Amino acid sequence: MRKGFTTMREIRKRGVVGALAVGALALSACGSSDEPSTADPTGDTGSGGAVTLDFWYSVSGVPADTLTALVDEFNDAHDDITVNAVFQGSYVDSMAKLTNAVQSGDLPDVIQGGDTFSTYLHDTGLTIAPGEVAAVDGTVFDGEDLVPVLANYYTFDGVLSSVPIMVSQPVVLYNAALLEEAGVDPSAVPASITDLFDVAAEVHAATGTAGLTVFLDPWWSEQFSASEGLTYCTPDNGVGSDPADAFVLTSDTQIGIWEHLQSLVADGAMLNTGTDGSASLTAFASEQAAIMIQSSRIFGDAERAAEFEFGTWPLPVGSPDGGAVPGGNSVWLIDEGRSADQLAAAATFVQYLASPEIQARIFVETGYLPTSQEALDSLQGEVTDVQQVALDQLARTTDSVPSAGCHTGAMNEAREAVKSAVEAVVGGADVRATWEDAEARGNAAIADYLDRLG
Amino acid sequence: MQHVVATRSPRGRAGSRSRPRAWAYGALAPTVVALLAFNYWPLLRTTVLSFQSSDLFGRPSGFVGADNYASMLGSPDFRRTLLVTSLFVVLTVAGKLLVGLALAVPLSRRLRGTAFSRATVLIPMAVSAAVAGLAFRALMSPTYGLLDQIAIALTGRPAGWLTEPTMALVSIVLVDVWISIGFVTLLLIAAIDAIPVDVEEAAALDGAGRMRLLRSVTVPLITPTLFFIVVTQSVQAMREFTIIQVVTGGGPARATQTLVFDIWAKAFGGTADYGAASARGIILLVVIAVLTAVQFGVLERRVNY
Amino acid sequence: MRAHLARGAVIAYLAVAALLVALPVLYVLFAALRPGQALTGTFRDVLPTGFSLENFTAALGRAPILRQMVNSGVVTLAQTAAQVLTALLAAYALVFGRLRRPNLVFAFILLTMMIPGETILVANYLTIRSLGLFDTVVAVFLPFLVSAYNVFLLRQTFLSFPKEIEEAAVVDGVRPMRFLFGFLVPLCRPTVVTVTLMAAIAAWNGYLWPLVVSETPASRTVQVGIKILTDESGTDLGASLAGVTIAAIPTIVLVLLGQRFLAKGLTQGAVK
Repeated sequence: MRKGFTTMREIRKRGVVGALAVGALALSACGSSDEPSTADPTGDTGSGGAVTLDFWYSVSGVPADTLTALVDEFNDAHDDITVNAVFQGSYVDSMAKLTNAVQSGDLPDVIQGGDTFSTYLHDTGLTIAPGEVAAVDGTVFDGEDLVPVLANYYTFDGVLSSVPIMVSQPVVLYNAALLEEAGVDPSAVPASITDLFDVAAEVHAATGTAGLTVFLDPWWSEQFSASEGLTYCTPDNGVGSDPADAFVLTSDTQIGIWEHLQSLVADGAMLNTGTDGSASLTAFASEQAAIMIQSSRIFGDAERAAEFEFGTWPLPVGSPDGGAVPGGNSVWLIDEGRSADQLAAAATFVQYLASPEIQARIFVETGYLPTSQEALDSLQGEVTDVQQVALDQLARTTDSVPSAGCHTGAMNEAREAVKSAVEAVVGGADVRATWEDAEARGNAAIADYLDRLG
Repeated sequence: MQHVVATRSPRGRAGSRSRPRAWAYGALAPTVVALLAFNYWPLLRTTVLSFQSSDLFGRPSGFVGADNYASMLGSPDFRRTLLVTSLFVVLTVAGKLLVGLALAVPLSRRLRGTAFSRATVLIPMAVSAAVAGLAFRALMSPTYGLLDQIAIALTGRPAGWLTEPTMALVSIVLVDVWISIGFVTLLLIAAIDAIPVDVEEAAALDGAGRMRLLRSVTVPLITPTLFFIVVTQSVQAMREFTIIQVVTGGGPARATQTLVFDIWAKAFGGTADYGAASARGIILLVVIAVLTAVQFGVLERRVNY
Repeated sequence: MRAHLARGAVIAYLAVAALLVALPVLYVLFAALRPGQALTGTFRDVLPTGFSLENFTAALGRAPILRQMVNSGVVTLAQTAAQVLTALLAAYALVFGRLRRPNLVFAFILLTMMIPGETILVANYLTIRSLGLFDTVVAVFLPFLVSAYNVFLLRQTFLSFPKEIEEAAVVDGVRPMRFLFGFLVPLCRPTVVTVTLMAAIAAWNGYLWPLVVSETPASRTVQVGIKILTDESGTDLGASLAGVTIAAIPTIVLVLLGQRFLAKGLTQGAVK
């Protein structure tokens, strides 16, 4: 009965597997040797006082390439600071990770937060204002050089809470050849969103190519409303003394715009490429759509993707109170559990990103608007026509309540509701009912947020 | 000290008069400890969490009784989630059975020239759900995807695989069915192969045509396997996450948001609402248990052994 | 004649079906190898129209794919080894250990199959966080060291042995572990191999859990890595699909090599 006694070999095989497993366990339990510890609250200083910083970012495509290049250059220039840049997915994903990380203290040192998350980030109490931290060389960021309208967006109770570094506004890219074919004069900037839609319909009727492509996103709900001078959430978009407590999504103007968009899609005049910005760009770049409404950060990617000449219009603003809401992101300094050395290093990094030379470079390479007034001034006349349109739009944007955009910590959750509404409307649902539902959800989200905030 | 057991267990392996082997406890220990730590204890914790609310960062902020459950069951979003989940389960299981049979029946005949086909249907088993999901995401994308090109060629309009709410659900069903083709077809081929040849021959002699044969002989005789597929694939569909996250992200307009996706979104989608996520987790467990019980109660009776 | 036509039709139908099934994989492969525009949005995308490795270079530059493959490899190895070992030991104890209430223990183990991993997702996540193992490779396989299903299968196989042989071994003075690994396992090799293979494939394909417990690219597994790579690549579809191709290679190889065992393993649980 002693058959199959290849004992030694079997045991050795098992032993090898077991040993490998144990070895792997040992290897992996150390995490990875080149990863800085994010859970070390007492300060990560290596030999010679070197500080390693974790920087979470969310941009992709050309802006990501630019940002990582900037990080590399910063690391080369600073012997005692190493910034470890980690792509954390979209602004939403990144915020989610931050939220989940609070409990265990695994927070990054610097985080690139999306514009609509500013109120939330401010409310968390995890961050420290850039004006309260000195860089390694002692300088404190005073925000004096920031373009005023951008500084205002990120200022709470009179204090600048984060440093905007990659700011964008909507722009409209158009395929000049297709427009001319349709007999549309490219130099005639549409006067309102509705007019823009009409132009798209014209182009479609004349050429058969879809006139418009817009990636489906709650941002457009905010921008279209702002362009018509509407206050997105009350009171005063949350920038006044009281926090916002309700959304306004169902005014006749807003419903009208979405009904118009819906009919464009139904007619085939607007190409529905879903929520993905790059899909929308691909459609425009492959000439399947004549006009694309996008964020100005698309310039760099558009240059790469499109093989034809495209022109730019600013976002049509239909009301004197209206304007394009600045979007994009800013960098926040995390205070929670950081040592003085880490904060100083982080401040150095952030000031570097906000400096005029870097900001000018970011604009030229990507299309994100320069946040530094000095950079903005130096670029005048030095840029292409397409880029100049974006700069002019920024200069024109006033400090009105509508163009400030809605500020509430519940913005993320509310945006989910708005995103669903946009998708549903484009899919053919009843416009008014859908937006009333989204408005109700948004209000519930605010109520819940204020409740949990305590 | 001896345990005297009056009856001998029919399995004959245990409960006998001898003492347990000394090594037995040690051999069981790792399994028991691991299951306690990562299955039973978390279940308990999940239950407790489901009765708590959480602050902005997920930290428990007090017991709220059945509030999480109440608000969940009362929300139209959740009812929609249940609807989407049910649709998904029904459609994928039906799809897998149909496609599986459509492939297994001809393949089981082992005709010459079908060896290649037989090997190829195994391909979906060789790729992960994430890989498959990303492949289909490319295929179905609105501007450069092949499937929309086909749709435009056939109907003149893009099909909106990922951008139209109703189509999106169909799309993820399609992906799930594709992924399971190899597995299901293999099972069905084995089951069909197990049918005694004389049964088929007798039916053919009696004048049964191909379709009749299929309906009255083949299918009834493979009901154990069909039942197995229905039960296991239903559970798997209820738990499906990867495909949805990778292909549609739960959208558009929540059209593909199933219960599991909802659990993940509530916990890790930005709000850190661990209480809500846990409540949904418990509901998931209950639904799966009930579904399986119902299937055993209702369908199992029709299985011919 | 009609029979020939009918048979021909079936063969043709199956060939077309097989091609349709293979389409997504080929589509991705051809796109990954295509220089320039990875997907042109025309029907020519189903053909291999070009060969270049530039997308692969781009993918490897954007994300640490090779490192992620290693992570996946470590997870697969550790998880599979753990599951097979614990299942062997548990099944051995259940069948030959002369336990007083083996069915109770077996029920205890089997009942965990009724607890979906998704239900206890948050709780396990919190456990990992409090152990300080978040964002490590260990966290990815730690909750999955035991597979109740594997215990079930191995117990099934062990039950087919008469208990007398174990008694004989005891009489012969054979140590229990030697008996298990030197005797039982070789005899049950097909089942053990099948169990190992299925566990390995499941470990390699894991997605939700690795997504939840990893944060930095260097500690992600390749399944999560390629999804994030796709998100990050934006318009660079070629890089995204090249990453997908790289991630698909190991399982394709594994399945090709282990076809036989897989087929048997799947049917074992079903036809019963």
